Amino acid sequence: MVNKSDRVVVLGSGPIVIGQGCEFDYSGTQACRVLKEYGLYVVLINSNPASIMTDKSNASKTYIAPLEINAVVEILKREKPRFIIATFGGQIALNLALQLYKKKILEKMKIELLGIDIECIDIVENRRLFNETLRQHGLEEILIRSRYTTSLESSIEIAEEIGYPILLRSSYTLGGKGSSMVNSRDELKYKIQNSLIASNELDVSIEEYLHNWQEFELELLRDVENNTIVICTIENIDPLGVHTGDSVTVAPAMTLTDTDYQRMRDYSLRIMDAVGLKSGGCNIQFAIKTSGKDRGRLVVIEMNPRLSRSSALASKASGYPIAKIATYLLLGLTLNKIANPTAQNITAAIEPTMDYVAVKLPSFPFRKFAEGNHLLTTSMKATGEVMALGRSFISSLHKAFLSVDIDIIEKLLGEHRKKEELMSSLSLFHSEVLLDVYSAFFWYNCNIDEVHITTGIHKWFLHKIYSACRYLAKIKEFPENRDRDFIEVLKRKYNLTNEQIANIASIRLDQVVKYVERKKLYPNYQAVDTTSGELDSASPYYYSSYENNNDLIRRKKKLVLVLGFGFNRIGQGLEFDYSSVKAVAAIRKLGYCAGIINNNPETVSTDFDISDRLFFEPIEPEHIRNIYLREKEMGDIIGILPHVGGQTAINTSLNLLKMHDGMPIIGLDVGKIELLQDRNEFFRFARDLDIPIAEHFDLFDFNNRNDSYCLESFEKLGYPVLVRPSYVIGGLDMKILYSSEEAAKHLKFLRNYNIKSLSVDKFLENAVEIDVDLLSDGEDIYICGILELIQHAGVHSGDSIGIIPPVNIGTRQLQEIYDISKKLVTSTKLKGIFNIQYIIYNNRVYVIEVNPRASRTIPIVEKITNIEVIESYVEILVENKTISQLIEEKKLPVGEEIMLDKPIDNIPIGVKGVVMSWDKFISSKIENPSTITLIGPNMKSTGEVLGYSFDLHRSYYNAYVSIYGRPIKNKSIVISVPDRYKRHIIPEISILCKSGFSIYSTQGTSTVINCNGFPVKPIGKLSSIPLYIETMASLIQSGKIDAVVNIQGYEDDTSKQDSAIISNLAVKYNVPYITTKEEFEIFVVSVTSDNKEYKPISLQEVKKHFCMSNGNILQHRQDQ
Amino acid sequence: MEIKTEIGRLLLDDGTSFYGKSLSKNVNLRGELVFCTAMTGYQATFTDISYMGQILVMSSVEIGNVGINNYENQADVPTITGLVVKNISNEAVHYQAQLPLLEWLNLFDIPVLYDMETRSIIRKLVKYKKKPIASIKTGIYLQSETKNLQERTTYRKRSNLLKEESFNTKASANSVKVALIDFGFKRGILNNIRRYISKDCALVNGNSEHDIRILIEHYDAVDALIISNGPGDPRSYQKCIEALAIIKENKKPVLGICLGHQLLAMLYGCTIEELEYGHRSITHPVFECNTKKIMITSHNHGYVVSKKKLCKSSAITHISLFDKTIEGVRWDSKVMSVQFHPEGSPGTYESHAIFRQFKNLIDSSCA
Repeated sequence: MVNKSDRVVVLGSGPIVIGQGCEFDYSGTQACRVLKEYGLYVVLINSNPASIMTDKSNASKTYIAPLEINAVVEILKREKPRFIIATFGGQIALNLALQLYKKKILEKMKIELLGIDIECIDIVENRRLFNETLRQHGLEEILIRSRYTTSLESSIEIAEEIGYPILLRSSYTLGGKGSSMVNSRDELKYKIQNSLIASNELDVSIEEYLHNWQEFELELLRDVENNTIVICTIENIDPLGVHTGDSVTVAPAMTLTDTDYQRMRDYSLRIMDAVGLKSGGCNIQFAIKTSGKDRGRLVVIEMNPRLSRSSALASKASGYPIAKIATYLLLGLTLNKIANPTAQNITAAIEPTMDYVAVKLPSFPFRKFAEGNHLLTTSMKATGEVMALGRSFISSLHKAFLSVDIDIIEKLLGEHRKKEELMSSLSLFHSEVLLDVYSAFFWYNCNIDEVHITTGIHKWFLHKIYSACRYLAKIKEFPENRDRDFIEVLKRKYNLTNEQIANIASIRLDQVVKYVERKKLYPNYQAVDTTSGELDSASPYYYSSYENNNDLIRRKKKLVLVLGFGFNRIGQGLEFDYSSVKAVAAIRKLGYCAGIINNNPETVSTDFDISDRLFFEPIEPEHIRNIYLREKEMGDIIGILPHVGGQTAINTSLNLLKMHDGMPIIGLDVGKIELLQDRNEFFRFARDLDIPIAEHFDLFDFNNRNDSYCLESFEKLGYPVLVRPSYVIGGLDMKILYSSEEAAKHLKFLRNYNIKSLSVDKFLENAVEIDVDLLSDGEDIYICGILELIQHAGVHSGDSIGIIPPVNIGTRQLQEIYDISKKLVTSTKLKGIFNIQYIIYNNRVYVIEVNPRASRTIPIVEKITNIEVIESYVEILVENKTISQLIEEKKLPVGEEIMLDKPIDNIPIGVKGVVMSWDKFISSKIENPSTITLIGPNMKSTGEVLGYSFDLHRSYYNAYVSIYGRPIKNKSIVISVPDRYKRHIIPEISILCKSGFSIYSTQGTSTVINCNGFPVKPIGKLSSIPLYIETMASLIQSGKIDAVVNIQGYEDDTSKQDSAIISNLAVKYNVPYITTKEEFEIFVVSVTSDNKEYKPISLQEVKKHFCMSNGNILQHRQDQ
Repeated sequence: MEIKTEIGRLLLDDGTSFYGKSLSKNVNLRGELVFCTAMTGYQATFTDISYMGQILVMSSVEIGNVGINNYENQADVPTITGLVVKNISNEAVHYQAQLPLLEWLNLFDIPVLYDMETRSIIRKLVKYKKKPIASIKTGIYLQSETKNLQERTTYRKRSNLLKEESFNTKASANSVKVALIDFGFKRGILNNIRRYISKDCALVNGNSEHDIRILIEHYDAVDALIISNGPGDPRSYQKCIEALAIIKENKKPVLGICLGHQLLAMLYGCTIEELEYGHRSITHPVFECNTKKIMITSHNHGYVVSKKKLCKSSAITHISLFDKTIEGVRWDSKVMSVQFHPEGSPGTYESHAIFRQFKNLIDSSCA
């Protein structure tokens, strides 16, 4: 039993990668808060600095440290906990806990693993054992029919018994690799040989192929008394074969009879008994065959005995906070002893019911990875998701489209495909199948059965989409036959915005608006209460619907609304959730009612415990205004804060202001924001202020300019040039062009998109990039954080390693940065929070861009500097505080006072490392590698880590281990650099060799190393002979190699090919991969340093600041 | 499919109206307005005889998705007086569906109001101070305010009388003879009796003096009695329960379900209270006092046994974790009853345990 004041270690999930996103920050944050509330001494370990769980307030001790066994052991030694909890940190935490257990470290240290039964994990993680266990418990009937084979003869027999088509799966390969579908005996004869070889003489499994089965997921909670409740049933619209994370899903399940559902529920309970799952959360996936022979057959697909992405979704969909309750269960409480957090006056033991439909749509980074494989498979590719709630499936779906930035009407009207093309596209699993279905019904009135057979989507959903499409088609094609109230129908039933209605009906927007105003067609807000209205709701969680019931209650406190950032995407993710949550907390602290509008089910900001009003709605002007109008009736409103929701919130607010200039959006002025965001205007603005800025021009009317005109204008500016479409999120489509050939190629790519104008900058090579976050009260500024980026400017700051505070920037330059920042910001008179990017080029500070909003780096800045940046921002905007007032109140520290008496070596240095999710997109054929691994101005990383110590190189090394989860072990690296860098790497090679590293290298590079007198093991030019590729592959695969250094630069085509092959191999086998000269330098010093190992230090123990106000720069170098 | 729709109105007896659409012409029907929060199993719900005379509001917004199949009916026909929903589907797309829901309801003239603001109605019902009576009006009656309307009783009481042979023959020497005293039993109860207790089950119409007389005459041939669920106010069954006084005198294993539970309570001198609003749900938790286990159970009741006059020899076995009301009582060593529906239908399978417990009770009392 857990006693109050016991020490407990919680393992987080580490950086965001595709497949393991911020949903674990949500569950982990809930867990930490519950444990702390319960009185436990909570020690948190997580390498992800952007997370909310690593905010100091959520634990007694917070270690931003590698989730790697050696580092964790150091922390365990220091903290001596009684318990360790790993169920809230995804697979990363679970694997780490298993290692600690299996190496008997927990046993030695007398630490108990809470909430995990090792035996149960072993069963669940091993398919064969899982099947065997279920069979022993009489559950054979729900297993996928499968047998193992080691020979051709037996495989034919088995295949015949199971019936074609079948799936061949080699044993012990991960992620669906090595599996293939077989339709006939002849095909089997041919394919089984390959499979047998691929499985290294181990057996091959032959499974029945579940073509177009419907997939369902149950989220369950179980307590120590084995009381079990189902929280939510989720139905996948995409048939089996598409990863649930990539599927469009609906909750509650729509197409199940009670018998279907109760069978699943009953089997779930029996499976939990069979595998011996004790208390906690778990999800179980099932599939049902809905046509043909044995329809109605139910099989279990898999089981996850921990919190997952689905449990986050289920929590938001049902209003029942699974992670929170799961934490209580972990502590040994039973469900009836826990108060229900959502419905008033009952226990947590009730199963939620929903009187609405929740639809989740995933979002994909395909535009970022234009070249990668875009088909959906059993391996997840989505980076984020949105959820929408509504009083019907179709209205929720339309709301979800808006939330994920898809205007379904615009898409439909812009559709020009032929029917055959559309139908063949429908037959593939891809991310836009649902849009294709819309087109098929809207344009071609396709037959539902035909679409059902082609897509595998259940007919019930198709019927709903069909009738919506036919109604829309009628509105478009027969204006004379429209119902008199068609606008009302489009709003109430189909949840379209005024703009969409004007668009589909070809009428003027103001006509629609007038009608809406006259009819008072505004939505009301319904509470998500877990009991379908049976009990009063205790949680302030709302969604809109066009009905008369209104669950919003009148309030006495004045309201401040915060705009969230929507779905996670590359360039805009968890970091913004952190700022949103901090902003909401700051507003509450000031005594106001804090509301948030967001639609991302994975986030902490959409936890209904966080705010006083949670609106689960699209971040879209009309929806925001509707909330505002209704809230105005409920009490006073101060306004809407747009700065913490990333570029999404800023752009939406600008659009809203343009439509309704009376909207109280705090700190936003359309003209001034556009001045900062429009490259051309900003260029002139900076010039007028005498601030150095790279040469720039705008290519207006890009769509109508021919290529030769464009190329000529690039030539005039002089290569290299940096081109980008205006208003960018995460550097989308931004590219550096070094030559006219490259430029011509890129123009061709850009023509695929509807780009109105192109911004072109002269690119300054080999410059150092600096990222500055500051507060402004309109008159004065306060610099909260400065991040020095290691990679040369040209690598997107989001993909670059950053050092905070900056260690290689001179005092004079810092002063210059302060002065320019102040000039830039105060001349706009804008209040709020800003992020400015600078480069230092030839010892001169140039401004690159100004973002009038909280940036991606705010969480790191807050954690390293100990400054309450977001809280101060809220006070400036909401309470009209000035910087000097905040300094007087000691809210904002003045560096000098704190720093001057401290020794130099006591300054914490943070190194931000970045994590890519390239493994999802690389080519499966190594000889034909994908070039997505090239880094550049287009941001590609999905997550970040922080290394944190008193020494730069130790910090870097911590970040390095955090990214890859493995320290340097074998002292072996592979190096391949392009010609222009070859002679520059010799000093590093020398250091490596002195420290005893073995170096493997490609042809050109090895010659240079050899001639300089260092030992090297050469491998021939990869693209010349396949054997060399194989050699390189087996070398990298062997596990002997600690890192692959492959510096990217200008190469001829064959070395480009070589470079791509090496990078693909490194990604494929998860070997650390270094791409720039700058990182290589710091890498070499770090890995050869003697004291690089992790030394535990918690955030709570560091109380240092680094900040700049009134031009007082405070930095350790000043003390010297 | 183009459907000819007309305006439909739900008029509450406090004068509130809710408008929606309907396919039924010229309807003017009256009934108690109740709501159900089950997210699956509408077919079993609509055929539950306990809903007789009631207009049912479904909180779940998408209804009709799986059509009507041939095995989930609890009675042969829909038993509700009328149905009020948000969205209704009229396609039978489930792999077992035989008929679309709307078509089936139309066959039996059950009026449906759809496009209704069901959440508004439920929020109103939850706070309604008295028993809510409402009427469904369409067509020529749309605006009529008359309140004296006929109540509908769809369910025809069984006319075939219980035959004496039912008790004279035994399926086999070891089999248990069960008498199911029927006030409108759900088929799920019979299925579970057959599955867990005995295939040998005689149906006794609880409302028929003839049937009760035959039962009492052959009482010795019976091994166990089960008193079913049924519609309406249990206090209106006073006569029936008096006729059944024998079960208190001649001790045999007895299981009461829902109405049966309430009738046993009356027999044992307890009083019945009316709930503020009825429990109609399949997700309510019930606490089993003995084992300290929680069961998620199926509910359909507007009345509840009062704790006040519970005699000392009786023990509460189950408590609602929803509102702390009595959910099950052991009246004496052989007589037990539960307020919830152990058969589910619709609902979870875990409460089937009650039938297994009852079987153990029978076995131990036979031994």
